[in-house]
Amino acid sequence: MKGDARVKITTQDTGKSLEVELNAKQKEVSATANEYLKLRPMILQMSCYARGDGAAICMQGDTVISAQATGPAEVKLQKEIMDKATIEVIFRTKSTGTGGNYVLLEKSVRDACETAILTTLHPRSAISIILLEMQNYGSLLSCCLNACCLALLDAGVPMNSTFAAVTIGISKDDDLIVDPDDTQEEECESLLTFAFESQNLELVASHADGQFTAETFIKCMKLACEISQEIFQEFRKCVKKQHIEIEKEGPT
Amino acid sequence: MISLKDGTSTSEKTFLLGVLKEHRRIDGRSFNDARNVDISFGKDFGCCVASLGNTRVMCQVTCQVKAPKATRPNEGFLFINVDFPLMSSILLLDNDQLLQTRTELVRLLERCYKEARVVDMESLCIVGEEKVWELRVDISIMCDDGGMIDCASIAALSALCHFRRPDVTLEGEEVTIHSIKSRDPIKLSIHHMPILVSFSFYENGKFVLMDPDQREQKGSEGLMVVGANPFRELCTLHRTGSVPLIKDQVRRCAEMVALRARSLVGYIKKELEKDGALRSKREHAGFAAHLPRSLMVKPPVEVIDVERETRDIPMRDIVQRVSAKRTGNEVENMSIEVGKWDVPKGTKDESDFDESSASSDVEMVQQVTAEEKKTVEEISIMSDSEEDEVVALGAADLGFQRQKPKPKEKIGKPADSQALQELSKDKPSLKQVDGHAATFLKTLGNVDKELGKQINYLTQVSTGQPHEGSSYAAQKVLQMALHRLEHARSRVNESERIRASHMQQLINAGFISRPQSQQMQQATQPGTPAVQPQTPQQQPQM
Amino acid sequence: MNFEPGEIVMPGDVLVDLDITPSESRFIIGPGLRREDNKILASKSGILQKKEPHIFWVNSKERRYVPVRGDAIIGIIIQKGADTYRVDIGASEPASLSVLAFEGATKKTKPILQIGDLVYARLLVANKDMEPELVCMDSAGRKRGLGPLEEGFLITLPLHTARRLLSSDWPLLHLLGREISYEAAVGLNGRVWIKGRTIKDTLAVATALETSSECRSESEMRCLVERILACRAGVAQED
Repeated sequence: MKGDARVKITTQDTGKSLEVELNAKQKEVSATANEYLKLRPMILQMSCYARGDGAAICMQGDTVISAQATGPAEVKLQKEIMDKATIEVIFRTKSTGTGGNYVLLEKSVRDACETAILTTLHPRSAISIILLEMQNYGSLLSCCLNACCLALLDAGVPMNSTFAAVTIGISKDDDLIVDPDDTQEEECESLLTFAFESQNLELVASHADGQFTAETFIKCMKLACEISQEIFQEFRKCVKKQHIEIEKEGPT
Repeated sequence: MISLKDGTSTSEKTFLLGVLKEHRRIDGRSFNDARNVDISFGKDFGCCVASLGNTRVMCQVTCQVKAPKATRPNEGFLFINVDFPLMSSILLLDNDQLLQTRTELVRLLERCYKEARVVDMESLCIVGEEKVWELRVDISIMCDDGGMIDCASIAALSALCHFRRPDVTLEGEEVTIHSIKSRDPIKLSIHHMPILVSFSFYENGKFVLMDPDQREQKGSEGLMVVGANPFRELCTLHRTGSVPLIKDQVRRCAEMVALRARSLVGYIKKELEKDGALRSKREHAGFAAHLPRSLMVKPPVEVIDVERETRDIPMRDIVQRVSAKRTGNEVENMSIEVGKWDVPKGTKDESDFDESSASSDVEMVQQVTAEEKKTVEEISIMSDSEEDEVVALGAADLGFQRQKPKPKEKIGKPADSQALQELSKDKPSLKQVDGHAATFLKTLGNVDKELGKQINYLTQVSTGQPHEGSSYAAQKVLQMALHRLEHARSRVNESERIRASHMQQLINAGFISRPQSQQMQQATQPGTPAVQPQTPQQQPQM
Repeated sequence: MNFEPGEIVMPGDVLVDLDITPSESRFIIGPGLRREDNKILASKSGILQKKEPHIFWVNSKERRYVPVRGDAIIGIIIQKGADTYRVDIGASEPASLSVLAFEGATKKTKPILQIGDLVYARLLVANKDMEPELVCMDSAGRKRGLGPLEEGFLITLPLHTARRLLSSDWPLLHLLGREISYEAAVGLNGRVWIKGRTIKDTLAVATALETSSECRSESEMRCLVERILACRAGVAQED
């Protein structure tokens, strides 16, 4: 509105500068709109612990999840599967008193892992992933999935592809917010999480809360697919940082 | 079929013993060295990740409103929970062992933080007999490389100090709990800050290691956990294993823990200040901003540190050490022992020079500032707390220095008079003058520092804050005793008054003649039949 | 080829699509690579390596051992049966070692191994469907350095560090051997057994090996060895 008022006052001297101002305002507006379509700053860290097979920490904005992968290791007899590895995901909040049922979250992560890990290479063994919530400020499921994938990469578990997840929130005005934080999540009508694999960018896991139309779902999925490619680049950078030490090794 | 319990080979255990016999440790530390501690705070209040070497533990403190216990209507609750995520795993692990470790850990933390009254429970009361705060301390073990108990205690303590509970206002009958966004939350009231440290024993108690890592723990014959706070008060003592220990070993471990508690508590306070500064500047706080530096896995000690080798103190027979002069308080003896252990023998460190100048410090205090010295002594002795072992370390240190034989006793004169003397000579040696002046200034600096410490202590005392040697608990007990005394006194007066009035009534009624009233007065001692029938009547009135 | 040797590959990356490349090219793929239909894909993250003329594999940093036939490993005996030992090799299940699989062992002269002892053995059978089997001799019945390991010290390293120790262009063990006389057995399951003449020597070698996993290049490794040898000499003087 302010911009409109200024445009009316057109003088020769100030015309140019006013235009510049208007453009700047437009850029501002479009920038804020674009910010909603960007991921929060992401920090990834691998090999964080001295013990255990693989560990990673994923930070998306203020949400921090630590993942530890163990395996392929010995499994209890009752849980043994004759031709595949048994995959287990345990999620723990840092404060157990607040309750909350995370079985569905564990199952979503397990689904993604079972698609991505080559389980037939390790029958009668267990691959266990422990996810610890260190800070939860929105987009919990996608952060868990990303941390899980990194931990599996760190542990050297054979996988047929990596996977990356994005959460998209749909606000009351049907605006899409990518990677919402906790205040944005509260205001959203629905939350959709998608996990894509790196080979053919196919969907490996999805989770949805709230009401939405089929078109919105497809739109979100396409957007998530684009953004997940950025996350794959981040994974690659993280692995590169980890491996840059090994320059030459003998053949096995 | 017998099978191997803990997955370590016999060679590892034998090698460990061999290393200990050479007074070394596998990672190069000395017997009394603990690993480095690192603390990070999260964005939420009460969230802390502590790492001790490669062991890492996360702690979160939360609170909720609850009805108090009937027996303690004005006290809140403190509930401690420890989580081993692998316990419910499908992996083939020794679940019994994990369960046992978990129970032990919870119980030790409870003893140290709940039963030793670290948090002021009465300050958690919202409405007496109706609503109190329940604090919940949740500890998650992220990585175990030995010393889990130590690390968990550091994490729990830091989290409790970091935690803020919501503000509460009472308007008549209405209680309003403000959210964190509307009103600043309030810190907990912490009485003292204890730390748990574990020790492991080998060869029937011959070798004692502080803060053993996973390898050392597996090869040990017994473990001991000691909890103490910087005021040298023991909060917890726990032993497992079948190793018999001399009581002086236990005492020595307790001393070491007190020293470590002091340095750790200092570190925790510094980190809390840093975090507080970030939050007040409204800068980005929490793990996303600051955890990465502590996430680096530290490689093992890079080289066998030569300096460390020379610092390692050979183990001596403890009984010999304890036979030092028994002057007064037993605790002074202990502080002497600590002083002896800390000072390395035969190393040409700066500590030698410090001691000599320190000895001149003591002299300075004695000669020049006699009054100041007096107040120092007074403060040290004035410990109202009920435990005898609490002695202000400042005075004890000075006491220690006084009693320790000084290597340079011949230079008995204080530095300033020496400097003046040198100047007054016909041919003054400027170097000597400078030297004396420097020692004098150093001495002044030390005196200033000591004075500063005592002033701080006094301000704490005068403003009614918790301080060492605090008589708060004793005062409370005294107050209650006084109340009871008053109550008893008033009752006795009441009964006396009633007795007197009854006597008067009887005299007036003529049951008892006046001359006998004197006899009655004599006979009002307990056991006389005249008085007895009245007392059963009086008792139901009360 | 979509990726060159020395580049980072991630699981799912297609190295070669055999439908597109000319059919004369040959590829021999090693650990970390797999074939799916007519594509060669990476299954682990790491740096792609190549050995002339056409052997490819991926170097990844991992800690958990997966048994491979022919590997020499160090195991800890966890159970003793009538005619087999059960040995923990750090894999997803314990391996079995026959009592007769030692040089010169007969039913009357069996080796005496206790629970908790270390053995240096070779994997005879190692596939995903069967329990791994170990032997302490070669096909001709000779010991060849295998068998029980007495005394000494055991350390655990990441797998790539242990593999690197055995490679010809990583002279760490030789450099240490110039000044320190010691025995070492390197297991491809990440376990290394060290025995020096004195405990100090053993500790020096152990520290050098454990810290060498942080070394990024040969020059860094040489610096590390120099420092350790210097400190050891300094410590020897003190005593």
